[in-house]
Amino acid sequence: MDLPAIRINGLGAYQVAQLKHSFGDSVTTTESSTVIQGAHGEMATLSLLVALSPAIIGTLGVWLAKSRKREDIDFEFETRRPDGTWEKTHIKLAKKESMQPDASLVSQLAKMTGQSADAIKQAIEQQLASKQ
Amino acid sequence: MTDGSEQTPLPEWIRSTTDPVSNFSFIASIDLTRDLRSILTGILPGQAIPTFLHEAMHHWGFTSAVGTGLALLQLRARTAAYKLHKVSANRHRAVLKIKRVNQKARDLLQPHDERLLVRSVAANLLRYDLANNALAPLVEGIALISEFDTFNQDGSETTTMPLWWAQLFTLGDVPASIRSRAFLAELTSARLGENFIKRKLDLFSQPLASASGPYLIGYLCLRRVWKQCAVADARFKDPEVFLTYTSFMIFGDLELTRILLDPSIPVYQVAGRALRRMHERLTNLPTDLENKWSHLIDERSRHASLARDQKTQSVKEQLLKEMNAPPEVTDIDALRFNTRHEAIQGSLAISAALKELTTVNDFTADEVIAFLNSRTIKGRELLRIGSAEADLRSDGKCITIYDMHGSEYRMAATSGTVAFDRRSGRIELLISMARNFRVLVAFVDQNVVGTTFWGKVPAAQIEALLSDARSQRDLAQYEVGMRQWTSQIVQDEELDVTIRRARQRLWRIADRVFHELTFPSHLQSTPWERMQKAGIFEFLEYDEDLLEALALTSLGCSTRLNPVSIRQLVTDRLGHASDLFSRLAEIMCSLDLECNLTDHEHPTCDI
Repeated sequence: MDLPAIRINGLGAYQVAQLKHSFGDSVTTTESSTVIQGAHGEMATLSLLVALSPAIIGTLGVWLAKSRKREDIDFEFETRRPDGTWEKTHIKLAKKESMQPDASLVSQLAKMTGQSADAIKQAIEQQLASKQ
Repeated sequence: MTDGSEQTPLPEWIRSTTDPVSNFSFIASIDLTRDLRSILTGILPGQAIPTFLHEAMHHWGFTSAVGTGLALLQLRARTAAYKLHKVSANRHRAVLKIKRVNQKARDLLQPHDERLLVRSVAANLLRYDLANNALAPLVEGIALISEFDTFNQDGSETTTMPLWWAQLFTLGDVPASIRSRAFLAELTSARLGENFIKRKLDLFSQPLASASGPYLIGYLCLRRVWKQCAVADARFKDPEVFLTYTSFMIFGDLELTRILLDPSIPVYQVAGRALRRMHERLTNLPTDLENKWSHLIDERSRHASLARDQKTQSVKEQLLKEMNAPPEVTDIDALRFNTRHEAIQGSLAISAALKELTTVNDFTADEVIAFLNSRTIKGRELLRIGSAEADLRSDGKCITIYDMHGSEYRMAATSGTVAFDRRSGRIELLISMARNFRVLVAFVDQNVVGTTFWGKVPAAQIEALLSDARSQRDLAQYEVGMRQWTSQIVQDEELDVTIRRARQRLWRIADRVFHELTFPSHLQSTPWERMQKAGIFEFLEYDEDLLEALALTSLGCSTRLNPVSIRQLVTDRLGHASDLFSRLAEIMCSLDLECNLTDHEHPTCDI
């Protein structure tokens, strides 16, 4: 399975800690910039870079399902193309209580990662099963 | 020399920040294009309250003695860079003239003071960087308490400036008799909203290591000191009292200011000495509160009345005048915040540096850099709430502003503004917390063409203050440009390496200092080590329910909710609250902190 690396932008420290804890320490993070170097201000938003694997996709799917429990969500992702350039996409999901992956979540993840919907669904379900 | 504004593209504006040198603030959640109408009627968008409280507290802190001292270090480096630039250019011209003269003659034109100037630029840049990093945990800690914990209780002895201004901006034309209650309702609603909850979760998930960020380390340290102050004197349970007091103790510390500015202190000692000084101040903070607090309140009242009496002179100018005059320093001494010796030395250090950088003398060498420095110092008073593009028209007396909604606003044209047809310009909303006014300013190109202000300050005084003001965008571009220009003129790759090494050393010392201040000695290093990656979240073993319950309890306590309501909040969010509170109480107890909902009237959460 040929899987790209992805970058998730605009994350808070809590979200990064959740994802790092789930993904393991093989991810890298970078901070958003300030207007002037050395300026003080609110906590930075972060970008998280991770190489995709079926397990990571499953974890990401579960995390997205959890994140939408309280509000509509809109995360900016960047996918690294084979030529090294980055393609920007958004995953937008309406608020939903259930953790079960629905068609919208599965299709958006499939489109972003270039995997089939079945593969995405299976990866998420495996993750959910491993958590129970 | 370039001022950088034409050449340097601005980085993308993402985060709300305040720069200690220019005191330039950018508040990301305020969009004046969108929010102008509501802000002019006195209403700040609810989602902007946390950011406003945070940035306004930075701004307020940076107008202090310590904040000004920090800015002066960068201006010293800038001034030396400017002089170096001029000396080098003159030498280059001289060498060209005597090209045919022998090598020895050319060597005579390699002035040794170029090397001294390079050293001065590098030393002041390093001094600034280390001082800024050393102060960062307390700068952020105070701003975070302003953001998460301020609350203007009935009968409070004081209100911090950021909260006072947030109140002004939030309420519009709510009658004075119910303003306080109305603001508390607004603040409570904002603080229990998803935006604030997320920010508190982000704070609790910050790494507890100086090298990884100053937020949690500063917040936990000051919450510990706050707890100690509240135990020593119940009035300090009031966050406004604690914040006012701590800000004065840290930012008004004239000895710390001297440590930053005194050129006789070697650069490599500055950060260590500054950290030791802050440690000493914070350790002694809870002692003798009664005396210190009454002196502080007296002094604030005195300055308030002084401001009323001195209608043509700013409080800042008056304070500087007082500080510059040794016989009157006894007034500052009376505060007991600084010993007499510290007060004199600190005042002299600041006034000497101000004079050195803002007048034409041997150091500045010419009026250009003196003027630029002077303009930077003057502009530090103004907090920029927001900026927007707008169409403007002038008839020579009035400026008409056309906003994106099709509304028109009118303001007085500044003297000297000529009539012009409708054209693009910028409008900005600024406030001065020191002089207590807000002003809407219209810019065309780089010039102020019109103002409307609210406050009891004479128009001439505001016009003088704004006479050479620059728009937010120009100011940011200028600062970014000058920083790059100053560091590039040294052209010393080793400077970056030296700064990085010195920062590493500083962070090791800072970790020890803040560790000692934050955790009692009997806890040793265990909690600290278990918070290095993700702070409290890591300490709670990444238990999301526990962390969210803690964040809600903390926010609930900060808005004076009763335990029943806090439990209900947690249950509504997590679906259960069963054993969460008992577990939290136990875990917090292991940190010598309290998280207690058993008292039906006074729930406690120490973080």
